[in-house]
Amino acid sequence: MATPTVIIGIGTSGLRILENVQRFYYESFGVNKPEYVQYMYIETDSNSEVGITPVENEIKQVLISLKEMKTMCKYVQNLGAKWVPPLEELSIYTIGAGGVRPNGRVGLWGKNSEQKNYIKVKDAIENAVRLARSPHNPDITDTEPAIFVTGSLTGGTGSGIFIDLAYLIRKTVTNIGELYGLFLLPPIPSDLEEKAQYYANAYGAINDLNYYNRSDTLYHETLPDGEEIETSDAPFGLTQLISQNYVKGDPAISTLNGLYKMAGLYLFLNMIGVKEHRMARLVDAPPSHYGTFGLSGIQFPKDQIQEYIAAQLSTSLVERWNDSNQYILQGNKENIPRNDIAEIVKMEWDSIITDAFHILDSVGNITIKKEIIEITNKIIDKEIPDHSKYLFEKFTSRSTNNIYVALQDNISNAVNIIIDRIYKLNNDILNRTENIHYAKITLEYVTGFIDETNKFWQSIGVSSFPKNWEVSLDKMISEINKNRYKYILEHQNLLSEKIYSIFEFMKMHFLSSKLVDIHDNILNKEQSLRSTSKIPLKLPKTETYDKIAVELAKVINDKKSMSFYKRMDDIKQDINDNTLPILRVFHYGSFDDELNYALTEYNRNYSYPSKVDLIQNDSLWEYLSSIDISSLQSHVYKDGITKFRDLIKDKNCVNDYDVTKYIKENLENGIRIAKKATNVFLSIKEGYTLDKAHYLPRFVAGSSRNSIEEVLRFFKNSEKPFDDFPISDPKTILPLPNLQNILVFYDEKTGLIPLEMISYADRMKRVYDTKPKNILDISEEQWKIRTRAYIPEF
Amino acid sequence: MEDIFFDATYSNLQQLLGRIIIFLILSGLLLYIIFFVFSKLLFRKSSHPKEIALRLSFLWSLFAYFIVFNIYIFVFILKTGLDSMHWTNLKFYLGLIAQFIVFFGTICFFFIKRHSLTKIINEKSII
Repeated sequence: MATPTVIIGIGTSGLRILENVQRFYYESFGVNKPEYVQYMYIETDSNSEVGITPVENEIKQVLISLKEMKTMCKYVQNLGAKWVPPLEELSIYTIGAGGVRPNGRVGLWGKNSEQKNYIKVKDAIENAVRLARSPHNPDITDTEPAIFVTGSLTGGTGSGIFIDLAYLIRKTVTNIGELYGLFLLPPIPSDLEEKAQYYANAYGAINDLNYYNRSDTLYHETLPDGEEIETSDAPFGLTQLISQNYVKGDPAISTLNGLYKMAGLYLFLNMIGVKEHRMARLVDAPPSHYGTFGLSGIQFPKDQIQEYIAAQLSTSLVERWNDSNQYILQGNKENIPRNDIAEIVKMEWDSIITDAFHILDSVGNITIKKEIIEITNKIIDKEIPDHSKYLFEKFTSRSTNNIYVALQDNISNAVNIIIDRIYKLNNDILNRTENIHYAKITLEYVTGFIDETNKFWQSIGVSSFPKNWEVSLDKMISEINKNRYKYILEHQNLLSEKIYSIFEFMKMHFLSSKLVDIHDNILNKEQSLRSTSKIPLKLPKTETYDKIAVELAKVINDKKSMSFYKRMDDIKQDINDNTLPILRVFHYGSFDDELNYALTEYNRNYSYPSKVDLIQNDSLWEYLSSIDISSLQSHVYKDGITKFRDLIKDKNCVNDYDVTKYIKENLENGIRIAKKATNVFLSIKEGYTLDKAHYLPRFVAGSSRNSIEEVLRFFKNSEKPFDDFPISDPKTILPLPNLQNILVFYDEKTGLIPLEMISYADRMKRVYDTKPKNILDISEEQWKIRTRAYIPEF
Repeated sequence: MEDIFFDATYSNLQQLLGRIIIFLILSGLLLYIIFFVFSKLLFRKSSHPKEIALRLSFLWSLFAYFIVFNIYIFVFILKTGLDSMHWTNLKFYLGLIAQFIVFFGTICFFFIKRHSLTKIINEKSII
């Protein structure tokens, strides 16, 4: 029976660990989590972003606001908290808690004008537990939930709130089953003074945890909602501590990301059945507040291969969109043809302006042409004594009810046509070429032709000013009296046409200022014009293309934020990281060969990636322009990775790989990796050994019992027999049917006394007790305020 | 009538003036007929403004008239015979002055009309 589980990450490290959990789960099950598990992370840094898998992210962010720190401190002080440091000692940090432990703690309990942090966190925990006890699954509704809290103890957020959070969870989730902590410690210091804050925070955090683990210590706090917590229980049932170092001195895991990965693997395994298996063993173990573990694996990195190819394909697609020289026409790269674009736009602009003129021929039910014919007939039939005056009145701007006013009221229809047609042209061109520079050039030509049109109109005397219109009108009416071609019986047609010319001229008079607006709006930074049609469309702007181009360039190769190259680099770095206790194995020998094969498979029927891969037949312009420009980069990044990964998966470009087959063929490597699991992630002082008793969990997890047994038999029967995972003990074998492409070796240790056993605990204590000499900007007392959060010392 | 159209001899000023007037009236009449027909037939489906179409038709009418007039000149020379053309005699030219007026007048009129059409098509002359 599944246990409702909530995994709570604290700080950015907590988030990174959760991302890895999510990734491992996706890789095995095709979804980010089971129904009975909820992920949430509590963060003080509003800039942190969640990494992704092809399906919707399930990690819920709970942002603690650290604004108005002094107000929050006063608020927490008023609750009766004695641990709040002097207000003047709390700096205002722009990013997160700034490594200051009390900042994180005050942040958890405090409230400011933005929000009540405590209420937000409490609600988030309650909600996560409620969702984990899925109402759709009656079996687990009444089951006591298990909660894991994870993060790093080096920063201000994690080391500041982890104890309060544990007690808050215990208070909020009344029938909690298990509450575990998995915390990351900094590695053996290479430059202790440089990173003194990390080590002092970590030491302080463990020191505080030791304090509350004691049965004679009372945790007593008044909560912001008035309730009190008063308990002598330890915050966590078991706290696992891991670092980048190994106990036996193997080279440390080279990157923090590697450690996040191992922590993520640990939590993922616990989610899918390892926890029950561990607990079945630990139940016989003597009580211990602290533990650590070793974990190793042999893995075919299918997920990373898929993601790498997705990043490559996304790069090709975005490069296609953002190529300033070439575009793809029927599968071939062609230079952007400026002359052809000019021709197309010229024709299109002629058609647009003709349609805009045409729509003005009718006002409601009245057809202006008909009215003009009637006027002509009246003039021909001499019903009007002074036809010049009559015509003037019909077309003058000084009247309130004539053709001029009717056209003025109708001009928005013509503007709508122009905006809608320019939008459509831009949209069609972008969809057809999938090149923003091509589309931008098109828009520039549109503005060029608008400009030309306006200049031509100006040259024939068109002006948007009513005063000038009156002058032109006068001139046109006097022209009507000449050349009437009466003697060849054409005077009626000619007169009607000349009156209609006045009307056409009037259209230009009204449209000229509108064309200037449209022209300027396409080129300038003002807010976009919108049509007032049934479906209002926004006039595209060249500046939008400039911004899109910058963001698309960033999504390809930005070093600081989410970008495809950065992700590819990260994946390669991870794959090539030999300090990680995970051996990567491949069908075709290497990661690069695997990529080549998968890409060839993918490209079998495709020449270039296209927008269809991402947004099907939706409009590319809508896709790129409707997203807020500041989030376009992350949006395109996420869509690229997720959609292409889906496609790669659907096309079965990367097949599963039975890692036991590799072990059989490379027994030495297999044993080397299995041995790594017994090498826990913590550097222990000489003279201390961690408990190796039989009741501690030590097992191999894989997709089937048979394959695990087969591997263990090979180990036992090898030239140098390896029997650390004895096949004779049934608890050594943990079949997890969905655990594809990986074989995991796990070894757990308890009985850890961190501040005694960790090899560099003394050095950590030194910077905790005394401010390092290189830190000059704060006093000894301020240093203590920053590194102490729970045990009252001041 | 034959004397008026096919006799190149100059008799007196009165006869000459009469001939010129008849030539001009008949040319105008013929031109009108041609223009009337052309104005109904040419550029009917054209997108040009009616006035421009009519002016164009008029130019074509002038051209057509000029062809007709040249046919007349051909018949005139054929009938009179080249031997009776006294090119060195000034009086001979006086006898043909009506034909010359119409011939060169038509050409001049064509260019004048063409110029005014060009002017009207010119952007600055639309109003």
